[in-house]
Amino acid sequence: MASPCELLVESDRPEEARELGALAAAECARIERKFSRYRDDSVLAAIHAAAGRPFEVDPETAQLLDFAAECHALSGGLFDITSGVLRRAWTFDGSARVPDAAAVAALLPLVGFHRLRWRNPVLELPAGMEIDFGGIGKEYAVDRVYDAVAMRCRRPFLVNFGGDLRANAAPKSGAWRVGIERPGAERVASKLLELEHGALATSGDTRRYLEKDGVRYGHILDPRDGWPVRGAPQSVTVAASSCTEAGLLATLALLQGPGARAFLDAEGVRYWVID
Amino acid sequence: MPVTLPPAGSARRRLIAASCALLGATAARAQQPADSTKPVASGTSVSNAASVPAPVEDATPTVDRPWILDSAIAYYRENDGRVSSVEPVISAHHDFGDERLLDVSASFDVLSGGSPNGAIPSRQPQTFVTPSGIALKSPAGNPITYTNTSGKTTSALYKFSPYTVPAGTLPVDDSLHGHRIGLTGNYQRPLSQDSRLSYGGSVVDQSDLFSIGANGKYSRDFFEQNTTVSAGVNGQLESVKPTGGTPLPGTDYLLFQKLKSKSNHDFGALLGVHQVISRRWWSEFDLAIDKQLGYLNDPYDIISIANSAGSISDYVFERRPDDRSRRSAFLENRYALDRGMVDVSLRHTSDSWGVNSNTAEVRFRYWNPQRDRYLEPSFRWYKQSAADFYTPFLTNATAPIAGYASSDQRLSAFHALTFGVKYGVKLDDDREFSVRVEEYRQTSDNRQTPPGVLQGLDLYPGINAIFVQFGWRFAE
Repeated sequence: MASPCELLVESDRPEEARELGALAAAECARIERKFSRYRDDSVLAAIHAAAGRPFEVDPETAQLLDFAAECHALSGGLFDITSGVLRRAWTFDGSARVPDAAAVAALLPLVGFHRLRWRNPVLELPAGMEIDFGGIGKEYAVDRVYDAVAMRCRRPFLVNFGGDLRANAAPKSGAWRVGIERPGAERVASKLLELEHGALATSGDTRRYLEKDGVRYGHILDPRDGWPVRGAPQSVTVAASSCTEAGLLATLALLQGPGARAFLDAEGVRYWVID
Repeated sequence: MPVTLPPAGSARRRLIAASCALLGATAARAQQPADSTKPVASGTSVSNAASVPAPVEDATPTVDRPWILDSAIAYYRENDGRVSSVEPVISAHHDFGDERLLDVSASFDVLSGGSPNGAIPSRQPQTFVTPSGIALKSPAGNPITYTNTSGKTTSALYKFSPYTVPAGTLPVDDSLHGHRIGLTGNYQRPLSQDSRLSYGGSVVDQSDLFSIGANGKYSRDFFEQNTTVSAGVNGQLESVKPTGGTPLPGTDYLLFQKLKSKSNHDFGALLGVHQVISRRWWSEFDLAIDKQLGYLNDPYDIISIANSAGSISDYVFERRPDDRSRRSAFLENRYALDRGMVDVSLRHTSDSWGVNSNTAEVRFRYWNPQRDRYLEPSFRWYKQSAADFYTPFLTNATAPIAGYASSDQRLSAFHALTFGVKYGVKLDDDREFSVRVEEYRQTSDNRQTPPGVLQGLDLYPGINAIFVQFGWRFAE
């Protein structure tokens, strides 16, 4: 998941905590193996290998594709799982390596959910295009691990994958305390939230960005022009019932750029923004 | 770049629906209205954040909020083959989240054995008829004639089984068999961040009694939830239908003049304060008043009429006032120990009938170092004064009696001690087994000397009873 993953369980039985930890790690590994874009044995690798031919996907992948289709539709095309190819031009490593406009433009024909044919369970992905569940994968993994642990454990627990988290119940001390990092000052919480149960997800360029000529380019790319969304807050944290929902809301808000707050207000979401 | 977005608010609703479909959630969760989600609270520092009671985000109630079920079977037995009862109880507790709690319980009580009929022992054997006879569905019994209040005589088929009590023994009616079904329900919901409303109802169905009750309570927290003030009201309607009919109070036992079924009602109010004093110590103080109106007699209680020589000449049905006001004050303190707790409570009640009582109870709970076993010894002391109209017998009276009188032991002066111990085994977080044993010793404080030959008889024998309860608690 490319970030620290943890499961906090309030228990005085170490063996129980270890058992749940193993369960969480197994579910997390399963999702990573299945949907990672870095592995050649993943479902994604198989889809890409089909190179334009119809490919029948398994039910879980089909659900993710349905979800991605709905997110693409409801965001007016801003949320797009085919935008990963833009990474060929963009590397968000904190450096000043902002790509050529031409290099970005050359990739645009390979971007756009409307270009692929998705009729559950058959996907036809035009050759050269790629799909990538990176925008929802981590939050989805949090929810899946949450469900797996909840089946086995009634003690208060919290699943936290790099700041995207979900808790089932308040610990004895009253609430889970969650800090939101201030960009540029890692490990320093700029806001402290209390969570009893529910999910929090944060989206932003807290860790992944480019900076050139005083302009900060966050890693949220607008799939329609291939460039980072401008004027977006540095980070948006959203509370919701599931981590997937919270994560998507945070991402959709960032995609609005300067309109992030207005979007969140209009949606009636509880959120915290760092500019 | 211009963006075409759906109307405000709808993105979230579509997202909720889509995430639920993705995560395989139930339809019920998908239907949660978007505006029902409550936020987490935020603060700028730990101490500040800690003082904010954090409202919670709506979460799925299916996996992480189990039903907690408490089941128990209780066995109660009095000495000398008197009343015994077996009572299975099951109660369920469910937390819907967002401070919404539901409690329901059901009990079924089977009563057998005998109960004192109110008459005193005599130097002669005494013969009684089962209090009101048991109505028969088949013509196997003997016809009995009774006269109602308007003087009308009716004949009906009753099985009336006379029973004879030997000289010198307390008359106990062995025909007392019955069952009792009780159901209660209570629901609590938040009104605001720091106030709650709870309301509930109850139904009791017994072979000779039916009652329904309702209650409501408002609670509000102050001082960061360290103080909770509650105010409540309750009401109950009870219909009394003694088997075979309701005796006319104060009349001759042998004439058995009957009334139709009678009823009474009861209204009460309560004011309470719950105070957290320290991390380990809380205290609760309650004041309650209550008024009962209507038919408040024990339809089976009869009073012996003795002459000055000490022979029993007659029996009358008891007669009580038709209203009763009660007041009570209750103080409880609980202190948590490192491996256990201590709980001390005191109660004082007084009523318009002259029954004043005091109760003191102490309970300790000790956990073993592994915290999977506990032992809970308890001790209760109780003392009450007699009702103004309590009399164990009447002398030189004739039926029907004019004033109030009752020989019901429960209205007499007595004190009682209860010794108990409970042992609990926690199998895991979700399952607990317990067994509780209590011994109850009631001693009469009645000093009224009977006339003539009745002297020397044990008129006030007291009660010894044993109570055993097996409990099984689990989360489902």
